[in-house]
Amino acid sequence: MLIDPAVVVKARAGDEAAFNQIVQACRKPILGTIRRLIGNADDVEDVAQEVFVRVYYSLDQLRSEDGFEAWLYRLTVNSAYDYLRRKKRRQESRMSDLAEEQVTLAEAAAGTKFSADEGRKAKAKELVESLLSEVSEQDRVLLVLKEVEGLSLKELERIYEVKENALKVRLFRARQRVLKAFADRDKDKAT
Amino acid sequence: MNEFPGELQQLFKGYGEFHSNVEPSANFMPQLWSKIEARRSPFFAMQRMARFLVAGAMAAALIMGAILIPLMESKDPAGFYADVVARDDTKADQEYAESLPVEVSRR
Repeated sequence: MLIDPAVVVKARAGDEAAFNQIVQACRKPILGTIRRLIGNADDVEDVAQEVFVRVYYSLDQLRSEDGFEAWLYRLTVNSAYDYLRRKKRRQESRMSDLAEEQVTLAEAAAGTKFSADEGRKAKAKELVESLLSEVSEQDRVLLVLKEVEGLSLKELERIYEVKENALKVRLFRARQRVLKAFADRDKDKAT
Repeated sequence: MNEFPGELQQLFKGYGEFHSNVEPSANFMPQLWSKIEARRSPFFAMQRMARFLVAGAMAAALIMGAILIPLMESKDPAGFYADVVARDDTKADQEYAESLPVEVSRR
């Protein structure tokens, strides 16, 4: 996702073609990131559109064109986080998880042939989503950015605008909570 | 703990691979532009204006406070009504005391 700073300057000046160019270049990776952050396929496009609406209306707040990608990531994280909070408030999480499980079951029942690799990925997806559903939205977002997106601490520092040590503490606690959920799951299986 | 144990690391990596290719629908751009246009509607303009007015009122209150409070603190306390009355107490006692002999003398 490399955006020419000149395009960002043009978009900031109100050039709609330049803005469209940014959206075209960034929407696929942003959709992927949001999909992993929110864990719900149905609302991915809505959240991504919210990100780009925010980009459109707050491009003038961007301090430097070079920092565009970190800034875009920050808007993505904020939008995903807002979505997760709204979803929690509406207590939809159980419903949507169920819906997704039903889709998987329906696909299996329809005789979709999964390769061994696809089966492994589907299993990993199911388990990770269930682990992430047991931690807070903050932990979820931070862990997905670090463990799934593979962002470095420096990149996270730019997104969260906090010091590296504070991030390490947050990450440590988030990992501990996931490990606890993982251990509890194993205990449940054993009993 | 700087990282997850191997098993969890693999799981999270697998999770990333699962959603590595999310395609936007054909309606993505038209819907995006309709959302952008919707935010330009009078309702959102009013919302933005209300937010701007609230922020302006708060800033004005702060500025007025910053200007008026030091002015009021530096003002001569004699200007306050309660202080003037308190100082005037002795004079009132004197007037009362002076008028008393006159009353007595009339009788």
